[in-house]
Amino acid sequence: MNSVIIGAMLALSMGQQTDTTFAVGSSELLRVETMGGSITVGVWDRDEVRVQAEHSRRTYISIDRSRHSIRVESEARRGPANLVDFRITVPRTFALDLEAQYGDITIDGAEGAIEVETLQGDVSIIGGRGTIRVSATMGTILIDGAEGQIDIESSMADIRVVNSSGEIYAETAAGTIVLENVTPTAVDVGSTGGRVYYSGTFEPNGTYFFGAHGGSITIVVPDDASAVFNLATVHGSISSNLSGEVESFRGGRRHEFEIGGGSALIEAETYGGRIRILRRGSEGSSAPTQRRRGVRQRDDMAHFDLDDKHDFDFDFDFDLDFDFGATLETAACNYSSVPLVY
Amino acid sequence: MTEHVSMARMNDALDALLTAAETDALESHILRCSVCRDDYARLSETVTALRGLARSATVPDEAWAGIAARIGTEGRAKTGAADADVVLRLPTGMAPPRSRRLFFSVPQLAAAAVVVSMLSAGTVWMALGAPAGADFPAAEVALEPLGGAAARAVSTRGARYVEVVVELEQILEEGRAVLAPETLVTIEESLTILEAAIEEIRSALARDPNSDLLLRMLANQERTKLGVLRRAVAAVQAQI
Repeated sequence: MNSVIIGAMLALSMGQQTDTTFAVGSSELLRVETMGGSITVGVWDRDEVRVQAEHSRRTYISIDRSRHSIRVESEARRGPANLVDFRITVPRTFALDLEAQYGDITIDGAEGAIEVETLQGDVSIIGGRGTIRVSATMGTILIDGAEGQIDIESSMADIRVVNSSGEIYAETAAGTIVLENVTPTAVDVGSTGGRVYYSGTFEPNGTYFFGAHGGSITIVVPDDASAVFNLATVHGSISSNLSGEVESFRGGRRHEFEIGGGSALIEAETYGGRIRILRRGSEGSSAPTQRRRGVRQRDDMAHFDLDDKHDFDFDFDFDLDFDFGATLETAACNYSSVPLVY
Repeated sequence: MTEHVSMARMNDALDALLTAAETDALESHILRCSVCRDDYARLSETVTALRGLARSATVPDEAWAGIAARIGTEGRAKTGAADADVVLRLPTGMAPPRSRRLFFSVPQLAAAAVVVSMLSAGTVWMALGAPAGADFPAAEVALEPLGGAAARAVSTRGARYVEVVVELEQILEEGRAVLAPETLVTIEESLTILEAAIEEIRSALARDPNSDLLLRMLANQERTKLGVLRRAVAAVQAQI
């Protein structure tokens, strides 16, 4: 592979800013790799790439252009590069491959494939076509307006996918998964310690799987849905208000029912969490608000101090998920279905 | 008692970032102080050795396909060759993420060296190169997926899965020192949650070993655990 080094050792000794623009030629892919610092990618309708970066004097920006890709990295003369904040503008249809170990990654307006990896940082993607892959350990992940195969894996990150279509795969060990206003043909999502929420369409012959261990699963169903529901929980509970009345099912066995001709397949499984099937617009069907998540705190009553020093040390982490029964008056005014009540 | 030279200053010296006067002062101190002389010698030797390593090592694209064929894995389609690329970098000391000052200490370099040797094991390359969502082996319990859910897992309790998990856990243990504290806490919390879930399911399976629901849940949680370990080891690898 022939490569041409462009702009290597830019701004080595003069300052802490890099700003260079160059023609893309035959390149179609941007790769950016940085240990620490943010990566922000925007788009334009020019056949050029602009690389802006803020960094220390020990760090330089290496731009390596091969036939099909442009690789941007932070380097140091010796040892690791220090923090670099990148702001890069690329042609709208460029594919993106971004990696920041410690830093946020933001993409706005992309219309190509996207692959993002971060260890500790927030990911925000507006756009994306084809394949959109995100791998993150902690932080929040937001994908808005993507079309294609969306594949997200994380350890602790909260995941939110909105206004998107295609196929959605997501898993997180302890984060929350929210899919809102989506129109996918396939869904396969699961959270071990967090909640799962879905409010979107169910396409004919589509397949939708939702899994949780201790957290709850909430599936909001539009009035025109046609689907078979296959629900199971070991020690949790299952309830549905689709029929107009609240129906509850015991745990420990699988429950199956059909609505609207049974075209799509919807499966939900929990070990100990609740499964709620709610008619769109009914009580409790709104998406949970996104909360900022840092390091989870534990409820640690072992630090309770009974001496006179009053140097208590409480760490609480509440995950409240209430279902308030609406009053009859409220229901009559606002909803056509009986609200879900526990 | 004479104050010792800081690790940061030694690193600056090795990176030729000291002024002539600062260099003279450091060299003068090292001549008099055996502790600093030994530390500087070890740091210099390690840095020299690490700088001699190849800056990148790439798993051949066909490696995963060959391994998958042997263990009979299935999974979602990979999206690009980037998954197979593994880049080894020089180690770095872990300052808080927002600091712009990065340096490495001798103990961290030692930990990095151990991790480098462990990463060369074929099994771990396989795990690091695995496509997202790939199902890991075992044919001991064949599980027919229900309905049309894509890539529903077969049992992950095969020997190969256990081997990979053990190796990844060992690498993570060896590489703990190079990870930032918040990162380590997050990884450990995630693993704690997953292991508690796995244990609950296993207990339930002991009472109902033929439950397809429990078997599928177990496979899903083990797959998620493998993903957490993979990302954790990749994080360790990225620091060295």
